Amino acid sequence: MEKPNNNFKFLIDRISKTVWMILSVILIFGIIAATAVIYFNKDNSIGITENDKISITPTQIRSIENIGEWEFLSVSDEELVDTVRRGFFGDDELVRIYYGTLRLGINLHEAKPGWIKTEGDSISVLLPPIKLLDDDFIDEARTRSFYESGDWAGKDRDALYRRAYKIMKARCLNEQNVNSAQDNACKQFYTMMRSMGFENVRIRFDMSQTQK
Amino acid sequence: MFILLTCKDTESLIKNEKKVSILPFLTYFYYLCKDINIHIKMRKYLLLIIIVTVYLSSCSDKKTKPVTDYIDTVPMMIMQIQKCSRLYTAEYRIHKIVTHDDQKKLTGSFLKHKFDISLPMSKRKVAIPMDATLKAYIDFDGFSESNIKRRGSKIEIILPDPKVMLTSSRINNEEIKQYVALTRSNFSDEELTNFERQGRQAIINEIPDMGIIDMARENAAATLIPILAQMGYQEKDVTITFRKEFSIRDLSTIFDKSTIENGKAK
Repeated sequence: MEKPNNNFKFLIDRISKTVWMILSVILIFGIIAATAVIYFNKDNSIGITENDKISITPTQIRSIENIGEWEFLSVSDEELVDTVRRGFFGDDELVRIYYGTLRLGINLHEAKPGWIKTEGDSISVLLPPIKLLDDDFIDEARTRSFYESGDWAGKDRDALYRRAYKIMKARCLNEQNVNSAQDNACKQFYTMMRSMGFENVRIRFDMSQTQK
Repeated sequence: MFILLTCKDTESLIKNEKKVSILPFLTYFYYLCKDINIHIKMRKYLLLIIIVTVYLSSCSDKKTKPVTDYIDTVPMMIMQIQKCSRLYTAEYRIHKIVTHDDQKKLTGSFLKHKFDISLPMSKRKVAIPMDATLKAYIDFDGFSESNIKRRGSKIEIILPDPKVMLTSSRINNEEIKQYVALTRSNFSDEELTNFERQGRQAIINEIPDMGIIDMARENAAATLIPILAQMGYQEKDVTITFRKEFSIRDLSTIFDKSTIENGKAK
């Protein structure tokens, strides 16, 4: 039973101190090297990046205009519009959400001369008819892409815009909203004229002008 | 407005019902044991078992089948109607070409050294021309006698400071130019709309430098003075004053200005 132990002891005794030293140094260097490799490689990373920000470009002012539009009702709308292209291998589809705000009110530049008449503490105001103040009411830059399959060209997007435009106009520019804007215009002008000190206020709309 | 009850909602309701259903059976069993005079120590153990069972059943990690959230896409239209009283006095028409330059890059770090290598044949470029309309308005909501000061034949109208709004924007879709390398895919609709939104935001950020507020003030006076003249006031007797509505954000501006005026610059 004691024979293997004796052999092992005999082997250990035969290894000189120098060899022990060399082995110890190798071990220490090995530990240091392993630690260094772990330290330097612990933050290793690799990935493919893509820039998703726009570049800085100048903004040009094309025109400046003095306007006199008085808004009495704003109708914000969003429309989901889609288009499908039938194909042999499958259909392509593009779905977008458009945002827009239709502003109803009066254009003071369309008021007839003498549209305000005063007599003592009475005032009579003849307002131009309520209309859609701006035909460009879609904020296309706010549009959200909802679904896209296949390739779509600029003219397809323009066609979608025109459809969204028609839908929004039909939905929001109705008689009810025009009447609501008219009521609010009367209320606002009445309050304003009363604040100016007029006791009797008469507000009318000039219906002789064509209404858009 | 539409409330959608999705498939997920219904399943979670059913799951909860299953958890609770064990409780009445165990409780009934406990009371049954009480009736047939089981030893009090045994009953205590039984009560403990019931509590532990209910607790464990509620914490079970049983995974339900993955469910799909169904979204009804058809009636996705929201209309918001707001009564207001805003006098738009200035309109700016803006043009901007939004550009985007995109190249795939291999980035990372190796042995504490960062690297950033542009991948060949991976360049994409797009230019999106867009037009926008900015309008400045005076909000007459809440206009009352407190906004008017009369001194004899003179009248002063105090108005809030003008506000600016981007009322519309239009993308020149047919004039969009794209340059895409062979190894890359075309710009998707989602990417294009993302760049357009960024362009819109860039226009909004540049509003303070356009001088639209000053112009809106001048135009408001030019619009209101003739109205007051028609009411019987002499133009020279009419004063239009603008009152700035201060917010918390303006506090820093005020402090900075006073510091400079008093010559106590940092």
